[in-house]
Amino acid sequence: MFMKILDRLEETLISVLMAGATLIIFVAVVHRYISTVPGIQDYTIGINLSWAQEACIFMFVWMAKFGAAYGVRTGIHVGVDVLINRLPEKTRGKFVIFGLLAGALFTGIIGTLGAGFVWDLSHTDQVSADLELPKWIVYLAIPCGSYLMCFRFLQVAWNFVHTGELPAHDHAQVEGLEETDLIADIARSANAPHHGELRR
Amino acid sequence: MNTAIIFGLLLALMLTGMPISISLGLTVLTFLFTMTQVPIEAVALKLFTGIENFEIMAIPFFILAGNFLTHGGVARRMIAFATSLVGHWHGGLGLAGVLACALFAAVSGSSPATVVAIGSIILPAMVKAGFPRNFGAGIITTSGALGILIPPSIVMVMYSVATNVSVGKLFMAGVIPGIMLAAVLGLVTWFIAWRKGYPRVKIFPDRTGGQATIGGFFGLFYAFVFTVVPVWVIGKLLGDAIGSEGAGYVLAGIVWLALAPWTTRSKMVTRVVYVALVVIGSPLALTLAMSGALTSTATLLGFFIIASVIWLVIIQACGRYTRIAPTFRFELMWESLAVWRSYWNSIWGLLLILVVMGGIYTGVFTPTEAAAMSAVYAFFVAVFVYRDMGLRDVPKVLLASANMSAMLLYIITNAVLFSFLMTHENIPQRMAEWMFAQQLSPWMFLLACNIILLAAGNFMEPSSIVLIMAPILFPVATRLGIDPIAFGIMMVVNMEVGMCHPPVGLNLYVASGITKMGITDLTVAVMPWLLSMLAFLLLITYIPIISTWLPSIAM
Repeated sequence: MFMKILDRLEETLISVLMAGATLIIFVAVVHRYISTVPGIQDYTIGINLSWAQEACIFMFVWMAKFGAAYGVRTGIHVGVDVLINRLPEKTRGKFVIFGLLAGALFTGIIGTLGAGFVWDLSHTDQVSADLELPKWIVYLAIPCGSYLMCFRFLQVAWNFVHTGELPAHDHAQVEGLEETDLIADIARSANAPHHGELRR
Repeated sequence: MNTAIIFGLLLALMLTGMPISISLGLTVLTFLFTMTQVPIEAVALKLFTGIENFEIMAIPFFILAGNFLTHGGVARRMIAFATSLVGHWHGGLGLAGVLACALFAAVSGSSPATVVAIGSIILPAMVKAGFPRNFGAGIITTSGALGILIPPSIVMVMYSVATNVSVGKLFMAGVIPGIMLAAVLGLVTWFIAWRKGYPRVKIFPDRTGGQATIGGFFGLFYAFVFTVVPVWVIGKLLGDAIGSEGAGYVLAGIVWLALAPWTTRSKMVTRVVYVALVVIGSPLALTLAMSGALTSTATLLGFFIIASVIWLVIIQACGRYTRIAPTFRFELMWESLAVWRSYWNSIWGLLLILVVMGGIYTGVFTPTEAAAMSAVYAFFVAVFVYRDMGLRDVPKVLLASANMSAMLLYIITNAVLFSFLMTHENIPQRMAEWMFAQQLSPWMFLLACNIILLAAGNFMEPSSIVLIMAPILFPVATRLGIDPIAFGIMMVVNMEVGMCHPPVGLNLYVASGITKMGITDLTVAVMPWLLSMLAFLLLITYIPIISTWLPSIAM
């Protein structure tokens, strides 16, 4: 139950951050050009959007940290597996476990370093340049994202030991594409009198 | 000594099959913990500030835009346009595949995405039309690689992150090599199809190849005139009225697009535009162009009349021969109508090329802003214009894009960490010194670069290679006087080659997923195109002007 909520939360967070950052930049660019048009100018000039760029960067950094954790779960982080794929199944399994644990170790260390760093920052009153957010809140993405990623690595390793299955990202999979009769469609679009055919 | 330890450790960790980002990060941590006195907090800070860079944010935006375009039916319409134009030549659907890949590459920044978008539609169609499976697979695998050469390109953004070369200039530089490579791949396709007698696609039976070719090109000419001239004329007039030329063109373009559904369906409009723009407009434009040479009004008038008559005779002769425009009916028929309709269907996708490249080139947007605009635009087109995708599907696309971009951003973060370590140890400088001391001539260095990069392409995917190798090779290249932009394009073409051959060529795996062909068969299938690509790589490496010419005149 808790896992399901965590999964959903993770997915929702990164999707919303992605959409949000896109919208912010879009609005900022539109605003910049609208503000040069006389008439509309008077209404928009009062709105200050100079923080948009910084907000976008912060949102994407957060998205990257939590998305990387989600990516562990979907198996999108690829490595050089040419060599180990030629090994016997059992030896390969050991390397896979080693890789996953190394991932957990790295993210664990980074999380701890980041936590210490954020802890030190929270005792200062540093704020970011445009948004004037406290810096420690912004940098909170490092410990949170890294610990989550560490947890995901351990989770995947646990599943691999027990079921022997690894999540794998399938790049070739596209949903929402159906096979259409290409040539007939073109001919129909041109009000063709006949159906298409081939000539040798 | 330190250099050997760093690279040895990195290589050893990578070969265990752990994610590349993790092996980069662990190398840095191990080194910092055991051998230097760099404050460890600096590492944590770098993990955040490493990607705290607005240029990098173009990557998630371009991925999002690409996903909307793939799911939103833009690829399908581009394929229809390409097929109606070149489908009746030898290897027709194959040529259409190359052209469609090139068009899609101009709106998408990733290679595998291009293979998926175009391949999953055109490969089944090719098998159905009687082409051997390996022919289609070879074409799409290699043409998909155009995705990172024709701008926008994620790999170019990576190169720019690693070397501080302007993204806009790199994008500009990719245009001509991209078109050239598309032409090379098309030529190989045509040649193979011609030699082996593969089927030609005929949209309309009982029309000869010559008729279809002229018909298709006339359709393209009409489409070009129909799109460009009214917007140009109205835009100029509007621009004078408002006082801002750019706004005038944009406004005229929007008005013309809004009228589109009506104008393309009405036969009357087609006929009026035909007479006004093609029959009268073309000789008029020629006359105006000649007005510098012929000064007096009388000679100009005479020139116009003679040009009009000759032009009319040509159109009528072509029209009679191809039956696209019977005598003085002035309407589009057959192939020209098919090209025209499929062109107009895909206009929303094609316009994105204008938004991205035009926006960056004129300085309206920065590359990142252009990427964000294209993501919003692609969303709008997919959901509200083509309606191939509902609002319900949007979260799925967002999640998939976030997943892919987070992976790339994570590699960047760790690569930044790694290059921080390398600069701290002065490795790039020392390597540059060493190579300089060897008296390497530029051409030998370039050859060595190509070999190293092609070898690296056997183990890693492009983003990692560029992020790891560019900071090392770039300082040497600049010291040897090699143009940074040409060097970047060379790296990109190298990456393309790497994507098309085993063991890690991602395009190959994607194509294998679509065609259900084994990797070994596919490797043989891509050979003719891959070899021509290698020849093209040599051309790009040793004739830098191909890449540097356009950015030098445009910016």
